Amino acid sequence: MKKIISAVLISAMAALLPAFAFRTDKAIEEIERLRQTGQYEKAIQRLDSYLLRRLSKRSARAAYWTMGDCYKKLGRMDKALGVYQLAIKLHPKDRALLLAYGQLLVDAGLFNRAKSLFERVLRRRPHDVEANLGLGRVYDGLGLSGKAAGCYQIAVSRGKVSASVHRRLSRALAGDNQYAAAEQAVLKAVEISPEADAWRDLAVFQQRQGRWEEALLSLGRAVALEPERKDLLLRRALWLQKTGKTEESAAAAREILKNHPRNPLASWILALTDFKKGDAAASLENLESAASQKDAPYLARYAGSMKQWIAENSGRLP
Amino acid sequence: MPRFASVLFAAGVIFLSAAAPSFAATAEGIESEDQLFAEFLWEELKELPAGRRPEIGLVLSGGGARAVAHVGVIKILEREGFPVDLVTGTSMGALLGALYAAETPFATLDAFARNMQISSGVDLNALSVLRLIISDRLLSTKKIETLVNQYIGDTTFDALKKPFACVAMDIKTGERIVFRSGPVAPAVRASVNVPGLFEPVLYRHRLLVDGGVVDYVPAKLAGEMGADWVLASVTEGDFTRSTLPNVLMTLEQVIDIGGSLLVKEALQYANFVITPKVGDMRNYEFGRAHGTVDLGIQAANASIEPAKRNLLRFSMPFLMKKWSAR
Repeated sequence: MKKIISAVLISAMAALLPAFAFRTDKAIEEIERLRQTGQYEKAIQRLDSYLLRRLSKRSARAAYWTMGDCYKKLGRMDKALGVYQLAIKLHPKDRALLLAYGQLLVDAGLFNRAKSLFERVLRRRPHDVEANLGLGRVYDGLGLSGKAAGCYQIAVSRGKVSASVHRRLSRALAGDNQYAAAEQAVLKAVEISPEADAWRDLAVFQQRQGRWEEALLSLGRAVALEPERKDLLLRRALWLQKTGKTEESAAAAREILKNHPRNPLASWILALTDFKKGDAAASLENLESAASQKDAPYLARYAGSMKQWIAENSGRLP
Repeated sequence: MPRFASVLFAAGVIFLSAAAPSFAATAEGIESEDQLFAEFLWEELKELPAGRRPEIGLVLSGGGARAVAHVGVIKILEREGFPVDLVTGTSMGALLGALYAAETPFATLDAFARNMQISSGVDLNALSVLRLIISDRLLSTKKIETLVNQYIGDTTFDALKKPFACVAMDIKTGERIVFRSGPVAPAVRASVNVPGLFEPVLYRHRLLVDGGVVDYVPAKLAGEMGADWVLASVTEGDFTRSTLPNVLMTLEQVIDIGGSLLVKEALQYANFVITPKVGDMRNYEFGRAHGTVDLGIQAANASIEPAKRNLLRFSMPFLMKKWSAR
């Protein structure tokens, strides 16, 4: 009986031996510490020799993931892609590797290649938050806002996610023309993290639903958070123009020009205000300023065409 | 502005604004002056009623199963509030164009396109195919008339919500036949009728087949109907990559080559062109219809900002009149 028990115990230990051999868990833990403290090159050097050993599948997967991440942190995307590509061939079902590789492909704009990786994870785990977020980014990149919104909604429904995820959802909903739902989603983002961009998004969603006064108030909140942000101030000036508050719009444009002289859009807003008042000469002067700026080429060309139109039609203007 | 110059300017706008995303797509962080400016102008343009802005024509090319991508293009146009005043179409573009001109709800149009099969419009069964092989008796497309009537009713061109025209060819004379009046269903059927596979449609003493043989992209027709600015959605096949193992594919190749030559000529009449990446698809690959709509969405999404900017540039005189009236 003792002989039988001994034989069984020895067989069991022999089967388990590779998992405990070569101190793989401790070694990979040490490498992981190097990674977490930003010593990526050192981690990669250690991993090069580590991966030559006989490893358990678990250790090997961890090693590949760590190596890919270190290369990514060093900005060596081609190396990171290569590591993950090899790792996926060896471990095609590993969730962490599929997600890491997928994220890298999304960052590189290779959306169609990334898609199948996230789908592989979702086939086994349909409500996986990270995979849904990744697939959502793929669909965003491909311009399929409705599908992106669906993925983000699954992620949001599974539990606590960051403000940026709620914002991604809101933008995908907006991209699918669902502005009311987009507004609700971005409100959650604002609750979690009241940033200027989130308030700006809320303002736009309100404006798209025709609620201009509310939109201006929300935009005001964005401006209050980042009062030096030129794009927010310009949007506000344009919206004042749009809602018939032309004098306020012009005042806002002049204010922008104090800190950003010759800003082409601020100049254009003044030109439009002057034109609407019937002051063609003042309008031409501001259009000239707008047309001469190279950093807004479309606006510059448009302003040039407007100048030409005024010159050709000045006799016929009211 | 002469149309050729407009096309040149369009190329410039595309170059300059190729990276310009719509707000809904990406405006992460700081928005540029050009983005804000174009957004403002677009809101201004949308407010202008028909008659006080350019008349805008939407042109839907032929392409069989590839042309299902037009539905994706339409989705993005609707999302952006792109004003469309008239529609022209050839072949599958005629079928989808008729439904769009009747203001079929987008969800219905989308479901129709994504679930489309070749048997939706053709009596394609073992017996009919056997008859085709043995006795050269062509397949009938009578079902297409039934399909059109099912979606938009037994209606006439005048009753459609938007002016619409589609193109067929008289197989006896080679004439381009334009349908702009009368019942819609037989006109669409005639436009879709692939020669050599489907029996010609007898209509007022003419034997009519697919208009794609003479007018694959009816952009010139849109101008003739009064469009000032024309947006064409073109779903051309990449015939250079085709293999030709059988009669059907050889016939398809001939049609695709002919279509391609017509496309080059037609595009001079379009101010802007959207080309979904469907070149690798066969005309009859309706099994891929679901994904093809998405390809249309992707192409339109990538092109919509340059398209809007092109139209805004074209509409400048109209906007100046609007602003000078205040």
